[in-house]
This record gives sequence, structure tokens and C-alpha cells, in this order.
Amino acid sequence: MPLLQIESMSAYYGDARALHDVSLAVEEGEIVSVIGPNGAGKTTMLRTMTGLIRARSGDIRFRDVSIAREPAHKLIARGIAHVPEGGRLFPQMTIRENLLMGAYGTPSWKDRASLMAEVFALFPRLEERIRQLAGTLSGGERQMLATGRALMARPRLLLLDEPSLGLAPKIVETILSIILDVNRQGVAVLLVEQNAQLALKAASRAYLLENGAVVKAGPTAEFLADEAVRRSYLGV
Amino acid sequence: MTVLSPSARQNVMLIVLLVALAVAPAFIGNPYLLHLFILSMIYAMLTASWNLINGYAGLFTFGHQAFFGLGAYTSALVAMHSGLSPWATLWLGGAVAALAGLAIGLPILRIRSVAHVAIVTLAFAIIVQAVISNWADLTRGSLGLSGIPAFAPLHLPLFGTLNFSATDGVSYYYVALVLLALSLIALMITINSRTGLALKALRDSEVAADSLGVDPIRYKLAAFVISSFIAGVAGAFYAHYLHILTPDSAVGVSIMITILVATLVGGIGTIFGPVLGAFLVTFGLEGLRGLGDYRLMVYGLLLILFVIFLPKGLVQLSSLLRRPAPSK
Amino acid sequence: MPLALVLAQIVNGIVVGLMYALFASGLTLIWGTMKMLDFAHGEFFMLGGYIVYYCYAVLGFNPMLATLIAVIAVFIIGMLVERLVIHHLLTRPVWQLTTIIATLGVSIILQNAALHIWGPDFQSVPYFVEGVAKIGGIRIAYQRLLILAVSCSAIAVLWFILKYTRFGLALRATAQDSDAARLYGVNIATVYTVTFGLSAALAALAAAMMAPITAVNPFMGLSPLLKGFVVVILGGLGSFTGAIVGGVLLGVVESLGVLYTSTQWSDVIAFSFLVLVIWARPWGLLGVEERN
Repeated sequence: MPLLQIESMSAYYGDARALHDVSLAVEEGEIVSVIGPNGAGKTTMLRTMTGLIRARSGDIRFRDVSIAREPAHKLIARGIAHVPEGGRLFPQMTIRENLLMGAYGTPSWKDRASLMAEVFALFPRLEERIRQLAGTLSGGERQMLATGRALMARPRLLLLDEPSLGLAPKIVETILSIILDVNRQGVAVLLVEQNAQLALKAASRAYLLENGAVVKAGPTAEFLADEAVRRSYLGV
Repeated sequence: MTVLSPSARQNVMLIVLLVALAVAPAFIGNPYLLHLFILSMIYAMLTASWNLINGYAGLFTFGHQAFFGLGAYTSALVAMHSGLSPWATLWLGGAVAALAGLAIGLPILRIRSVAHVAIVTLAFAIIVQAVISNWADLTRGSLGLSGIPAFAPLHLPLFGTLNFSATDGVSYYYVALVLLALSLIALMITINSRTGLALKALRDSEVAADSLGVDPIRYKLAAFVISSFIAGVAGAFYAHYLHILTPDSAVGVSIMITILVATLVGGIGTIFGPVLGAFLVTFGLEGLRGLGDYRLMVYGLLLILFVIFLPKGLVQLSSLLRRPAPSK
Repeated sequence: MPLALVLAQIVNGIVVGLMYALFASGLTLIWGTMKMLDFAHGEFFMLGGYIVYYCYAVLGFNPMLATLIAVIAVFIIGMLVERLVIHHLLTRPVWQLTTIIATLGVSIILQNAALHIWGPDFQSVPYFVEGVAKIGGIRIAYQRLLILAVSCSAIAVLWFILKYTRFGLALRATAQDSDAARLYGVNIATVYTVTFGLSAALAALAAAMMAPITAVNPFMGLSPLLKGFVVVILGGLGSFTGAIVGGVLLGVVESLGVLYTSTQWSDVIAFSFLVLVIWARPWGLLGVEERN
């Protein structure tokens, strides 16, 4: 039984279908990547999974419980932490307050002090600026804070939407190594990326999303060997 | 058979409505009913003119009553003190309201937030109301201005003489109808003119319109001035029709609420909708009179139920209020 | 003009201004989280005034107990209004307009219900404390000092709630990014309900304090509503500090204005001040640009 199982999920923006019978699975402790061009529906897929958009049809099961009808605010307590594109921090709150928000709706609220220490161990830069407002941080710091906020919830599944977007290669490297670290502690990761190079390097399995539908799925090795994928997404 | 475009269908409906209103007095024997029709037409002018600013220029103002009141008091006071005929001061009332529209339009056109525009225009209306209330030497304050002269008899070649006495509501009715028709024609010409096109372009995308060289301030100001002129004329007519004005009845917030409700009921961003809405609200409020003390409570409840269960009247606004934010 | 008189007016202005600040912080809280204007806010003020009048002047309760009852009762009424009316509108298109009309509807209902129950007359409420203090040549009624103390404490408590409690965290998160707040476990519907109740309770507290000075009447909510709007725009919509600064500033400007003209012009002064400020600074003194 996979940790997360999506079965032929469809979603609409108004009358326009944005997702077309998407099926996808993430096993316990696994890193799975979703790649695809801009506008393929990657972000919509994550937003539908976490209830910000309601799926019109299909089912979403997490630890064998259907969550397709669950309100968005209840998913974090179940162990799904979603890091939206750009981080979506609370700009007028300090780093400390943003991290606290990560534990807000979860049982880990009572352990918030020790959790925050763990996050600071991963991202020492955040501790240096603990009282700084999130809106004043640099792009890399924002992504660190957004990831740290998600870890405060002690998730079983981490959903990352374009964590490398607009970041310098060196920072991308740091973030990737932290994702791998987190994963080694048993957290499954669903990584949505336009940067296929990065995504395929980190994951064991991958999905290719085009025009709101899954057009290819399999181990990353298969993707790396596929001529068409290499041409369109890896630029080689 | 030709299929009419939505705007052409509007025009047809409008002409049908105006013709129906023109023949209606033949069937209205009851002077009170006639009075309600006249009030409805006044509100139709107010609502339709507010719609130009709101539905087309995309500015949610909450102070249209200021222009109504300015027109009313200007026309009444000038007619009383200068001896000018109300037929002339009517337009003077409109002109003063238009000037006020220009004055308040300038500062708020720089603001794009619904809340800011609403509150600043409301503040302007409160200033007008407070000045009228406090300037008792001139306006008799909250006691109200009475003895406002009636229109002079009008000799018309085909219809004979129209007399404006208290017993002759029909003459007032036709003046109201002509003013309403003129206002609607003016609004329609505006909307279909270069100004109207520019406004629609601005409403849909300020950025795109900007790049086409449309100057937003100029066109929105034009809409503001035309709209407040019509509201001022409506106010002036109201003054000479009722012969008495109080700050509450001529500049009160309740006027704005009625405009808003009429717009809500009739649908926004059209010419015909507000006119229909004004009639429905005026007669609807009258229909609730049987409820006595509970009348306004029921009115309040109906408003709430309407927005919760029948928001369809508002559908056309949605594209307007969700227009994309301009990039800096 | 004697300096003592000017000083006394400044103190009076601060007292009244703090009332405006309390009232306006409710409006700004609602704008900040729900992005809507509450036209029923004046009626929560009116209800607060009447409950204090009834409990204190009619039933003879201790004035502080009467105030507490008013604040709690209006808190509950506010939450009910949000749940029964506003809740249905916020997730729909054109909520900016529908919420204005719906809160106007609530206002009309409450105003006319009050008129029906208590009649149109002004009901006077005795001072909570009698006597006048003399501080450095300025005479201030104890009632006004009480208002000063209560409103400062209320503002401090509110600030503490926003800054340091779990609910305050959720409220600010919702205001800044409601989607992200939902992803991190905030039930924003509950936040909206409690915020609305809290805002109404602030209006009730302001009314409880002002009732002995202004007397109560079914239409007493209109003037503070209009002033409240002026304050939040002056200070910058959604800014809590802006509401406090704007409130005190408006109170002082008004009471100094009264030295030069008669009281009845104070509205004109207040609203002209607003139009002038907006002319110079479209987003208020402490506000940031709003886009809809």
C-alpha cells in the first residue's frame, strides 16, 4: 500500500479542465519527481492534492484513507506538508513566527521549541536572523525558511513546488542536499520541478506531466535513457 | 429573423420601457401611484448615472448622494433668491454637481482600492451634508428649506399648456420622463463614444489601455463629470417637485443605499438594469409599508437574503472587480 | 487663547481619539483579514451602548460588570452575524460589494430593532465614576481618565493577542496569505468568525465607555462608523498601529478645531482632513498600497 495514491484525479478552473485523469503514487520513504513544461498542471496537481482546489473526480488516498473531501487545513495534521511555489511565506511575520506557523495545526505544536532547534541545525542562517521579517529575506533564505516551516510539522510527506525556481546553483545544491537529508530520516518527498536535471537526480521514480495528463511514468533511469525526454527536458 | 446583440436588445427594451412610461399616466388615476412613478424615475436617473462610474469607469463610489443634494440645493436656492426660472436653475444645479464631481474625482482617481474610493467619496458626501446642515442662515439647516418655487407653466405647441400645481402630478411626471430619457440617451452616447470605449478598455486592462495611449485620468474624469451632472439635475428636479428639502432627504446615506440596492437588483454595467432596479426598489419599499414598524427590518433581511441566494444580479460585476492588478 | 484650555482640549482629544482607535481597530482587523468593509460596525457599538444602559442604568449592576456583559454579548452577536451572513459571501466573486450590502442589511435590521424595542429617545447613562481631577491646572473628569485607562489597556491586550497568542498568529497568517495559512492548518473560516466577533466586541467596549458622555440612542452608531472609516483610511487600512495613530490624531485635530469653530463643524473638519491626507498620501499615513 503506497503512502500516497492518486487515482484518476481531474480538476477544473471554471469550465477549463486543468487536470486530466491523473494517477500517481508515492511509497513510504521515497522521493518522486514530477517534471513537465510550464503550464502542464504541476502546481494545480499539488493544489488539488492539498484541497486548495477541489478535485472534480477521482480519489486521493493518504495512508489508505481518502482525503479528497478533506478541508485543506486538516491535511497538515495528517502529515502532508506543502511548500508552495515561491515559498508563500507570511511576509510581515518574523522567521520565528513563520516557523511556528509550521507547527500550528499539528501535534508537534507542543514540541515546537525542540523542532525549531532542529530546523536551525539544518539552516543556521535562519537562526542568525530569527527576528527578521520574512518579506525582507533573499530568495535562497526564503526557500530555506519555507522548507524549515514545513519540517516544523514533522511531515510524513513533503510536497515541494519548484524549490529551485530563481535560485543560484549553489543554493539549489544546498537545498537539494537538505531534501536528501530529510528523506533519509524517513520523510517521503514529492518534488515538482521544471528543472528536470535536478528532479531526476534526486528522485528514484518520476512522472512526466503534459497538458494536465501523465504521459510517462517510471524509474528515473528510464527517463534519463529516453531520447525524447533528454531532448525536450534535459537539453542534451 | 435577425438575432439582436445584447446591446441592441437593451436598446429595444429601453425604448419599450420609455414608450410604456409615456402612455402609463392614461391608466394611472391614483395621484399617489403617479408620485411613486416620479420617484422611481428620479432614482432611475441616479442609479443609471452611478452605473457609469461604477459599471463602466470601474470606481466603487459611495457618495453619489452628494451630487443629488448639491443639485437640489443649488437649484432651489438660486431660484428662490435670484428669481431665475427653475427651468434654468435645473441646469445650474447639474453644473454645480458636475464641478463637484470634477473636484472629488481628481483625488480618488489615483486610488485603485475599492475600499479607499468608497470611503473617500462617502466622506465627501458627509462634508456636503454637514455643510448644508450647518449653514443654517442660507439653508435653514435641518429644519429644511421650504417654499421652493414650482416650474413655470410650459406652453407646448401640440400638447397645450402644462401647469405645475400640487394637484397636477401629470406635468411633473412628463418632465421626469423627459429628463430620464435625456439622461439615458446621454449615458448611451457616452458609453458608445470614444470615451466609453476607452473606459471599457481601461476596465478590462489598465495596462493594455495605457499602452494604447489611453489616458485613464481624462476618461474617468469625463465619466465622473457626466455622471454627477445627471445626478445634480435629478436633485434639482426633486427640489422643484417636492418644494421642500432637508439635509437628510437630499444628501442622506439612505439615497446611496437605495442606489446600491437598485443596482444590485437590476444588474450592473448595463443601461436598462439600473432603471428596472430603481422601479423595483421604489415600489418594493412601498409594498413593505403594510408591515409598519417591521418594514425596514424586513427590508434589511431581504437585502441579506438577496445577496446570499440571488447574487446573479451581480454577475456582470465580477469581471470588473477581478480585473488584473496593473504591474508597477 | 489660554494654554490651559488648549492643553485640556488636547487631553480631551486624546480620550475621544482612543475611543476612535478602539472602534477603528475593529474595522481594520476585519479589513486586514477578510478584505471587507463592515457597515454594521456602528450597530455593534449601539448594541454595546444599550446593553450597558440596560444592565447599569436600569438594572443597577456594577458598571464594570455591565461593560463585561456588553462586550461578551456583542462578541457572540458578532460571531453569529459572521456565521449566518458574511460566511456565505466571502468565498464568492464580488464579495467586496455583497459584503457591503449584507452588512448594510444587518445595520438596518439592528437599528430598527433597537428603535422598536427602546424607542427613538436618548437614554442617559450616569457616569461610572463621579468627580473631577485637577492635574497641573487642567480639569479632567474621572470618567474620562477611566476611558483613558480602559482603552489603553484594551489596546495593549489586543496587541498582545495579535502578537503572542496562537490565535493571533493564525489571524495574522490568514491576513497575510490565506492559502498558505490553510496549508499550515489554519481553519480560516473560524478565524473569520472569531475576528468578526472580536471586532464587534471592541466596538461594544468603546460604546460602554462613551455611553455616559454621549447617551444612547438607536442611531448613535452612524457617527462613529463614519469617523471609524476616516481613521482607518487615515492610518492605512489593515494597519493596527495606523488605527491607533489615526484615531488619536483625528481626536486631537477635532477637539482643537472646536476651539476655533463650533462643535457642529467637527464632522466637516474630520472629513476634510481625510480628503486632504488622501490627496497627499493616497494610502494613508502608515498604509501600503492596496490592490483589488
